[in-house]
Amino acid sequence: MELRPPSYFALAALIDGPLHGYAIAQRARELSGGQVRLSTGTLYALLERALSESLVTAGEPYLEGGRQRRDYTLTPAGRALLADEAARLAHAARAVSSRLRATSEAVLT
Amino acid sequence: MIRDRIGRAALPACPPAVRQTRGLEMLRMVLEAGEQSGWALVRENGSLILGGVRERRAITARAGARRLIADACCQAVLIWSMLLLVSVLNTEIVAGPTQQLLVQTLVVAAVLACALLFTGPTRQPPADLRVLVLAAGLMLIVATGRLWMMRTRTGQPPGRPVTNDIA
Repeated sequence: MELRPPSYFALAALIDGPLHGYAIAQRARELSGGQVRLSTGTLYALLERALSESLVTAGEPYLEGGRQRRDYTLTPAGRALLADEAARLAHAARAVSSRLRATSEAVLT
Repeated sequence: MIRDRIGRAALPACPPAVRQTRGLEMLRMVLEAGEQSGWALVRENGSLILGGVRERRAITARAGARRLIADACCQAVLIWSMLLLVSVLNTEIVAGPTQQLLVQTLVVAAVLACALLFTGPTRQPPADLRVLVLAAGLMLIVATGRLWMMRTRTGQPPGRPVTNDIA
């Protein structure tokens, strides 16, 4: 299954441990170098999907600063999917890079 | 406080199930992300509304043809009732303030408008039916009120034109 950048970086944000919604958005932004900005609607839609596909689990809600939070954790299935996607992207990057190098050498010679 | 209210006003865009499970969480994120600037708050609220609408669209897609037809019938009745009330209001505006129950008519129209805005798009027939029953009850009250008003004003049963017929 192919992951789109928002889902990919949202799941990747959970590699180091459970995070709540806003922290996931911030971490995803860091990991993507500012390329992926997850807004509330987007993040919760993809979290909902990830929950239904058992890629993440939601912890019990708790109060912090008078407001409700909930931490999300990456499941082994989510981790495996993320690893597959990272390998696929790395392979695609390698294939394109090698072709670019080969053609640029041909153009130069 | 105002930010909180704006966020809470945007929440009904999400389906009730999502609101119940993650509403407060999403509101918290909207407020946290919106702390940076006014524009960020607008963007987050917009995203919340769009996310809610997308979720409702997904629910609609999963609902199936039979449920969609039932839903469409409910909405058709709501739209028809709205048009009926609008025509009543229009008549009263054109003819002058002849009815003293204009406020009630407006309230029923507002209830129907809310039903269309918030209940209809959730594609949940039980909720739709509840609103329909509520609207029908309100319309019945208004109709009864109107009949009573006409009787007390004219002393005639409704349906007969009020004339100054001496003979």
